[in-house]
Amino acid sequence: MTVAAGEVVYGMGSPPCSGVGVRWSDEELNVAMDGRVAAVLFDAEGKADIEEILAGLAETEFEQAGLRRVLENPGRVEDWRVGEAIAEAYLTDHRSCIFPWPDGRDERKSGSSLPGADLVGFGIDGDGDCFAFGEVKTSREERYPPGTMHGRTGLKKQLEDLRDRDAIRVDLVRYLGHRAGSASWRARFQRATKRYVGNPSDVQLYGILVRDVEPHQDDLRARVDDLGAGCPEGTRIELFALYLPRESLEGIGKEMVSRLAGGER
Amino acid sequence: MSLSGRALEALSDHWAVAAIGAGELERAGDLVCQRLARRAVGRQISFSFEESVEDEPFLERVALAYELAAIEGLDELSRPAGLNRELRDQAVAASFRAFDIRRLLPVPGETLGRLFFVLQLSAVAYCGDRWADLRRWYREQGEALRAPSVADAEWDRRLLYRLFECWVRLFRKAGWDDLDRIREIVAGLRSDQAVHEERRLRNGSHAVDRAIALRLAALYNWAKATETLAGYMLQGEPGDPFGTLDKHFEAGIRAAAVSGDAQHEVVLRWLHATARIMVTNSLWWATRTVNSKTSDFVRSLTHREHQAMFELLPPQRAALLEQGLLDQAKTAIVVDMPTSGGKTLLAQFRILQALNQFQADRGWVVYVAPTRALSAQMTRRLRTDFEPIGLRVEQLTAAVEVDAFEEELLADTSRPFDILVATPEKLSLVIRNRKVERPLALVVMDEAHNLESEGRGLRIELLLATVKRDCPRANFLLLMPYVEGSEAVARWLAQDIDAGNAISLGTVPWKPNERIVGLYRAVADDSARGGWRLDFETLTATEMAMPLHGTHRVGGVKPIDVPKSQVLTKDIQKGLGLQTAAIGAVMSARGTSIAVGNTIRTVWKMAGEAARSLPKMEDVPSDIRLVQDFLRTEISPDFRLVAMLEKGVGVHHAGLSDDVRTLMEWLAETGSLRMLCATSTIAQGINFPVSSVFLSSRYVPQGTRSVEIAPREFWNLAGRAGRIGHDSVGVVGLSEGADREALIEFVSRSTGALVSRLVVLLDELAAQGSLAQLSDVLWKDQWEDFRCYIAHLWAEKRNLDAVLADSEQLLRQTYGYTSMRNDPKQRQKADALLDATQSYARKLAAMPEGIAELADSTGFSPEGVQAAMGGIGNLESRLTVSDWAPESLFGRGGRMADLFGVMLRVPQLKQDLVELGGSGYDKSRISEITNDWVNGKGLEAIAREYFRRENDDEVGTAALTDACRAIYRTIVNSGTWGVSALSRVSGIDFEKLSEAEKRRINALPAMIYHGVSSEDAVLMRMNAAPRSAAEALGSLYREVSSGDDGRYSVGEARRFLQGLGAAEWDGVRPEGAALSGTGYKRVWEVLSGEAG
Repeated sequence: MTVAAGEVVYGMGSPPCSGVGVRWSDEELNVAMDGRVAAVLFDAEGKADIEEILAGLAETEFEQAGLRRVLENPGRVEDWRVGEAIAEAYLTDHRSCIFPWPDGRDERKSGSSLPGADLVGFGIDGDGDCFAFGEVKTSREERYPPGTMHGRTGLKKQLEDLRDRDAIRVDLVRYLGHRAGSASWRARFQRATKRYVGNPSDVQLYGILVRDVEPHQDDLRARVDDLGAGCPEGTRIELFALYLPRESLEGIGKEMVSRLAGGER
Repeated sequence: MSLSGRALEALSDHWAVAAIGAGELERAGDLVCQRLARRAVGRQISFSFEESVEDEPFLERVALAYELAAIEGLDELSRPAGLNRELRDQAVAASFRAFDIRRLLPVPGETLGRLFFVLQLSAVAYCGDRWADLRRWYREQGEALRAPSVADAEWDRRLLYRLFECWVRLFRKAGWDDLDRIREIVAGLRSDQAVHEERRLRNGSHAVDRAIALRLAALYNWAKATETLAGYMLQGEPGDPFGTLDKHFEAGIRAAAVSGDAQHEVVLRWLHATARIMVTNSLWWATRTVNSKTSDFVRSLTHREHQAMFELLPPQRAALLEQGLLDQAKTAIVVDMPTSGGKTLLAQFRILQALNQFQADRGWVVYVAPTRALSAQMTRRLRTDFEPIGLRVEQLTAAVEVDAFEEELLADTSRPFDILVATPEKLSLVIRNRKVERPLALVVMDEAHNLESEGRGLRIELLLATVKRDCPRANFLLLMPYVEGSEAVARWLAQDIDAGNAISLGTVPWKPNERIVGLYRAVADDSARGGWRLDFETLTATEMAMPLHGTHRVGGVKPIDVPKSQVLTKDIQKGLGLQTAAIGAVMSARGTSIAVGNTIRTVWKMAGEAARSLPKMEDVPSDIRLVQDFLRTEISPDFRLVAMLEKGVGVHHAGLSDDVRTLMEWLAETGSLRMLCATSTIAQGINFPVSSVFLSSRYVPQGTRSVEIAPREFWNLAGRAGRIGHDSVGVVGLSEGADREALIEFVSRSTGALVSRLVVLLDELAAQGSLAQLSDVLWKDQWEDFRCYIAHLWAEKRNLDAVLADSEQLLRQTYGYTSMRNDPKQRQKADALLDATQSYARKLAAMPEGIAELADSTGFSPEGVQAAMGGIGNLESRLTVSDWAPESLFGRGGRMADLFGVMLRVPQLKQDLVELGGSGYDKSRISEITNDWVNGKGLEAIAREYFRRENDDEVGTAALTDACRAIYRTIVNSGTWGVSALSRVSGIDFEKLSEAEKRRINALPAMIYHGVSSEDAVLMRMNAAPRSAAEALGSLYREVSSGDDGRYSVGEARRFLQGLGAAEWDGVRPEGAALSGTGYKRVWEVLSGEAG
């Protein structure tokens, strides 16, 4: 079951950089939350690992109580994490991407100021498999573009870094390399790597804004122009603004947790 | 498992590497070499390579391809070997290549980027068997290795920074304390946890709190693993650290993975593999099953202050863990290993094992070194390493006689020596005359490729054959560089076919360091009036050198201040020695360079010009100051070398005393010298690395001829260029002269297998069609050692039939005969050799009784013994016992001249003595010099009196050189040997003499050897006391021993010297000596190996 493609509300730009605004209806969001997004967010494997990690801590001769207090409490799902899960599901279903790790483990990326990307995986184009990296921002702000677009950790800067800084991309490729050993996607990894070592700019970059406001082209317009200019040979950049029904993001994390618990909609 | 050439080749088929393309890979290889060369010697050599801004991103891509191939097999390196050998090999080979590139790329400036870069590069180095190169990289780094300040750092960062510091320590292994600090750091982190952790877990976001908690879990596991690893490297405990290491690395990786913490996960994956490799590389692991002596030795190696050792170089590990160096079933092991690959340590492990194996019988080990200098170096090293674990190491002098004190030392059973260091000639006497009653457990022969040398090869082969025959339980360990097919040698020495083991590491991809090889020549440089400079053409004709193309400029205009006309006239190269001095001087800016000249005269000139042109040293090292004072005292305050040393230039040749040469080597070894100008004798004198080596010619003197240096010898010398742990690139150069093509061909020649001198001699005869006449030419000099070998059998059997019956068996002990006998095409030669042996046995039967025995005890050939006996018989007045007393022999009117007259008739001594007498000195002059020498006259005075020349410089350097050569080459060798041998053939009935008389006569040769006139002074000199203080020390020794005869022992004398303080040394200084008491003590420590 895939998430909805949604209604295209605007489009702009042309390769190497384009932008598109897409709107989801209540029903489309609802189906996604029950299906693909929940699957991405909740991952039973992660829990088992945590118990094992806690059990092993004693032998390090460090005190374990502090970590135990934090890790034993499953806690809540923050809203922005649902945004990331929606973005991942969307790219997977409508851009033939795969991102080998479910984004759902609470801890992924958060709190880390290390350079990287929210989504790390593979895309496909006329030449076959390539690496695909994505950055996701979730914003309820009634401004176009929202503040999360700017600043040191803003989407714009993150995408520029991914576009221009080989060192960031190469770390991500290595990271995938460590996991590729017996993975189902090993062949895709190899094909993407071959392209990459030929041209380290031969990658797909995605920037996704997840919003619950009225669609507006200003969310993407300036970014599409900027990122297109000076784009190295081989890099393709696509920006999405995914507009969810108004005010649907507030409390969406809590909602996901309660649905998981088998509760009401 | 060690890296193989095959695995490196297979890499090019790996999918990621293949994606780069063969041509591009080659280009990357070239770029790497160029960058490495430029980085290492770019200040001295202006390379002509082109550079492009595209190079760096291109190298990044290639490095990534190799890294991905390494990552694919990384899990194999993180668990016990053997599951998937191919993947494991791939990981090692790919890491090896990735490191080649990564080490040349810039370290990121931003803190976290830098830390992860350093950790990952270090891990890649370990996985690629490149830890020695990594340590070198560490030395080149400054700030990159600095741990960031933890002040104000968040708790997770604080942990990371501290762990970074721990791993920098683990990688550089600067010493015991450096590693021991890790324990404290980790303990400190545990106590800091209470202060910092809680705050770090309050971020206002549950998701963030969890991510940090998981990161901390990863870091705590990492800390525990780090502590475990450091503990193992230091103590070798727990015996199997893998369980703990695996558990904590795996838990850390799991925690990092759960939080998607890519950088921590990746670095932990690499360090997990690294930790395992570090353990298997460690001395503890390699020797864990051996014996307690070995454990004691390892403990002392890890604890020593200077150059503490913790891990094995890849060829050492391969020899120990993979190729059965310590397999007791192998009685003969031949190790072919690149120069500077760490052979000595292997020998030490084997020695300890042999001593352990023969413990019940109090077995002994002999370490055979080709020269006096190497014997002294090896004694120093073995004493430093083994005396702390209670082993007694003794050295025999290089004199071809066993003197009274050596007799005592060899026979001592109350505190017997464990290890003896000796030259082949000396060992030969010891074995043939059964001087040690205890069983010989092991013969270690260093530089064993001398087996094929023209001068001593046959003697060495026959020595080994004699050991095989006379000491049937002895084991063999032969160490040699660049020998192909050494199995044949191992099989020869082994007692049975399966007991030989050839450990061949000469062709492994691992190298002690990279090497640039090239030709240099003078070219005109019109940028200055009468200007000239040096060009350096890098050669690619050999796999032993980095593949660098082009001709490059070395240094500036007039690299040394000599006119162009001395190095170049009309495009004709000249002054090759000066050119060599010039390039040596330029390259000395990056570390000690050795410049080899053809003659002693040239070497002095080279050193003089280099010293004149080099700038002053900012601080003259105290070691140099010490040696300067030594030279002022022992030779002359005006000795030229004193001023040269002021500029950091040393000299090394046969015209210097052993002590001076040893001190020159010591200064080069400790890096105090900028440059050492030497004759080719240095090739046999160094077993320590330098930065660069330059040769003015590929020819070396061989007696009166000049012969091309053997490729194996050349590469052995060239292999000294590049210091492990210091220079990533060693530079080797040959002066081009008029010989460019021939030199290129020379450098590209392969080293080949060892060939017995017996085979060579017989081949020569066969080529002349005179194989059948072998018996007729057996009297010639080149067969002398062979005749002695047969005489030894005769001396034992004393019966013609028995000797004839055993002669085939005797020959079968030799390498040459065995290899000819086993080859159907060579049978005829083997038969000829057997015939000649039997016919010579018949000749021996016809000689007067006792000749063969005397040959055995003197080292003369039977013919030499006969000549000596004839000479003594013809003396006008007979020699009596009183003539042999030191005061009469070396006194006025003594019989020394008569003895030299006899020596001049003995073939084995004649040549050297004639050379000395050649310029008009007769036997009485030789004896006068000898007497003056023994009676304590200084070298300068001897030079002035006997060797003054018209055209000498103002300080009489040439005269001094001639005096040194006369004494150290002729009198010390032939004079000593001659007097010793003549005392035995003179007809004195030793049985009738008192112990004291016997000892006194037996000490005479040693007095000549050491240049002193009393037995006590001989004992001091045997223990490396400087000659200028030896007599006074001897008197002091006599005094403190109250004249007791128990003092006539090398060990007792050493203990006396060990106990002397600076004040006592001060008391034995000659009046006005430049060397202080402290200086004397220090020089003695260096020369005797007490210095450590």
